[in-house]
Amino acid sequence: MTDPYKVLGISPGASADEVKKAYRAMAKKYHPDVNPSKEAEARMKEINEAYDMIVNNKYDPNASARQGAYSGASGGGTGYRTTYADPFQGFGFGPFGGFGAYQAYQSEACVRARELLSQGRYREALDLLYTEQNRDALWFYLAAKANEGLGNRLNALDYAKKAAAMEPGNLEYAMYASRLDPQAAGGPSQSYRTRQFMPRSGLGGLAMCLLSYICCGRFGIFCC
Amino acid sequence: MFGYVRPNEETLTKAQRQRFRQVYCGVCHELKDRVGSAGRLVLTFDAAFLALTLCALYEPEEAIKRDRCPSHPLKHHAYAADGIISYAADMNVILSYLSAIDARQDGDSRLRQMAESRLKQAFQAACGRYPEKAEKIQKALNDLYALEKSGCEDVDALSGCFGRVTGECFAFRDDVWQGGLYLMGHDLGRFIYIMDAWDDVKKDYRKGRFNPFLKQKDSPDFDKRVKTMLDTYIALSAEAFEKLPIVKDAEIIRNVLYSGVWTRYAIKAGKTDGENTHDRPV
Repeated sequence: MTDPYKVLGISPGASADEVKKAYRAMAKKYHPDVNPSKEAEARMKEINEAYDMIVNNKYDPNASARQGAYSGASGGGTGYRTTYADPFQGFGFGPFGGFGAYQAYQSEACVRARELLSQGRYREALDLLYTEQNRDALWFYLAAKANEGLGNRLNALDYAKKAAAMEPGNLEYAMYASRLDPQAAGGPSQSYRTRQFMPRSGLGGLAMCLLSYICCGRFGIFCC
Repeated sequence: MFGYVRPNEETLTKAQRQRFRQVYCGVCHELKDRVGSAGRLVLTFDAAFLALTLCALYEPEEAIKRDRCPSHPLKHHAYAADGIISYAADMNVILSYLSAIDARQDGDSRLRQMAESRLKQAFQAACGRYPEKAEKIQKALNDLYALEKSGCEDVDALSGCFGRVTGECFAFRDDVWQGGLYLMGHDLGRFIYIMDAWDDVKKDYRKGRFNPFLKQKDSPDFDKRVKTMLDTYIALSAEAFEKLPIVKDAEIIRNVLYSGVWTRYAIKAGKTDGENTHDRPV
């Protein structure tokens, strides 16, 4: 695995902004619009992959934890994905792991839904699950995964919590629910809220809003 | 539905305000070319934000022109012009037209007539330029209307339809950034739908209109519960944004995503529970 930092010409401790600037500088040189050669095309592919690896926390030169601009980022998948979740992220030592592990009864719908999830066919998985009347913890877990894949974060969280509540000893379900929970530590909601800053409410904020509303039309056009 | 995605002007620098204004006026000028004087009325902050984001990512060749206009009759002001601003104007037209002719607008038949007469041509021209996008947007809105008509209260199902609309607008073209842009736009669209539903719930109740929150509006923690939903999706949109290699105008975009989108919520939620929210983060 090539060191993506070397590809972009930056140090492993580079900040997020430095990573982006480095990417843009490289892209200016090797982008096909600027540089139509075959070598440039291959180089551009390498540069895109390096950026993706860094931004999505995929690069690990050794086994120990890595410090860097994007470390601690939650969620999986590539920067170019159009779907939301890698359904098997965190499918480590749960109900499906380990040979000889006790396999609780899994309904046909759940077994089939799992296959569909692994193929990224979230809609089909969810539709199939809804035909199953018996809704045990596993059902809720898979339904949560399917919803997550579809981007339905609110439903995913509800179902994940339900699964965890139905099987309190199940570490995998608990961890999954925690990963989706906006109140829990380390998720995108938490890092978002550290940067969030509320506009002024009260008279000041209201005045500003009214001013821009009245001034030049219903959508609040600036007029200064 | 539109107007939530706007900057928090108080905390922008003068240069940032000017830059946003350049793009905003740029979209307005394109709209004027497409629909005449009605352009000013359909212009949305949302389309300007779309233009700003895509321009920041792609840094197209941009001309800064100067002109006067009815909103700024005294001074010449600068406005930006490039292919992306034209694109954003087309998306603005498509969305404005479709939301104006939406059959659920029972009170606003004048708006519908105006849309039909003034926007229809521009709408068809925009659809002609982006036929696949227009088709996906229309389908998503039809799915949304069907769900609302059936009384569906599943916030994810409803907001997801609108997310497909905005996701499609942000997913500018088929390249390595399309997926990331789609996600940013999609989750922003979910945020917008939920914010709009929360904002309108009392009015919709009075007018006997559909709203997914009708049954919850009177519970004491309603605002708080909706805030959690909003936080969930705007955080995902911001996360998708932060993964894009955007440097130019990034602080303006952050101003919108981390602050500006809360403008209406801050005012309304601040009023209803009497809390003074402007001194601390929520």
